[in-house]
Amino acid sequence: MYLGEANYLTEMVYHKGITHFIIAVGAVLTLFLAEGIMKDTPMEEVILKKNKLFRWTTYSFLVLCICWFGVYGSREFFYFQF
Amino acid sequence: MKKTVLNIILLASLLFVINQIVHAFFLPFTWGDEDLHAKMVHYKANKDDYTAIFIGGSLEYRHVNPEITDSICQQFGVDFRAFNAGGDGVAYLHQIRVLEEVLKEPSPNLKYAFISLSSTTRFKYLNLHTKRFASWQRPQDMVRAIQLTWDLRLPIKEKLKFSWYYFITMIENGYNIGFLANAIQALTHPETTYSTLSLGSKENGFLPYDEEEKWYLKKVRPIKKCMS
Repeated sequence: MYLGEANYLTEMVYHKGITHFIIAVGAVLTLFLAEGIMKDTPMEEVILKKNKLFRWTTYSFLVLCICWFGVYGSREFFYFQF
Repeated sequence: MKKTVLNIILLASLLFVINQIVHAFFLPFTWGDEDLHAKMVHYKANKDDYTAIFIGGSLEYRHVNPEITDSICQQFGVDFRAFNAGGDGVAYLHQIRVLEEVLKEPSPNLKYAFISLSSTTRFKYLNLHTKRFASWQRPQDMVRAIQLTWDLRLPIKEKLKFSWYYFITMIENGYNIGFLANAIQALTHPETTYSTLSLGSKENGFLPYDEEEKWYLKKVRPIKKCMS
């Protein structure tokens, strides 16, 4: 018997579907990339130096990501009737 | 201060428009309802085969057998070939939405559409914030829901409560709050989310409880080609 037989990694990747896993990995990579580009400069300083179009695109992107991929404790539909 | 508020309103409007585009082009209104989604996919693919459609809640889903209605009508010389588009927990306003979607691209053969009048705009609080309850609601559905709620004989507190619930559900669905990852997963990997069980063994949308029980005992759910 070896550790891979328990399928921990597969379960971790697939238990909510591959989409959720890709989004999570993508978000972590974006975080590293942003950190790498901005270094110690605060995010607002970097963004405020840019033009209006870039600023609004960034704001929209951030709010959309929070709305679309945030976890708000949604539950399963409850059906029980006689 | 005035500029900040204006900017927030502008950003909210922009995001609402983006989300409406996502709804219009990428999200079918049934994506959050496993049973109804399978039924609507099947109906759209085979709509010319049917002259009638039953839209309703579980009462219709589990009891209206198109085989029986078809055979009785055909005995009287009526060309009646029905599809049962009912679903568990599908209330009146949801049914109106289903009918509107059916009539968007109607089959030339469709002659009869039946809607159940057995439910109101009230719903179980537990179903608030669920994808199945929220995914079909547009701003116009919220307006309709609030109008109907205020026509009901309910205490004013109840009317306010349900109006608020419909308002927040419209916002939730309007901005796809917390839903999009699930929607992408469901639509790109339908075999992991949807099942064609709700079509029933005759593929006419009728699934009595005893037939469903047999599938549960087998511990599998059927997936047909149209969903995978």
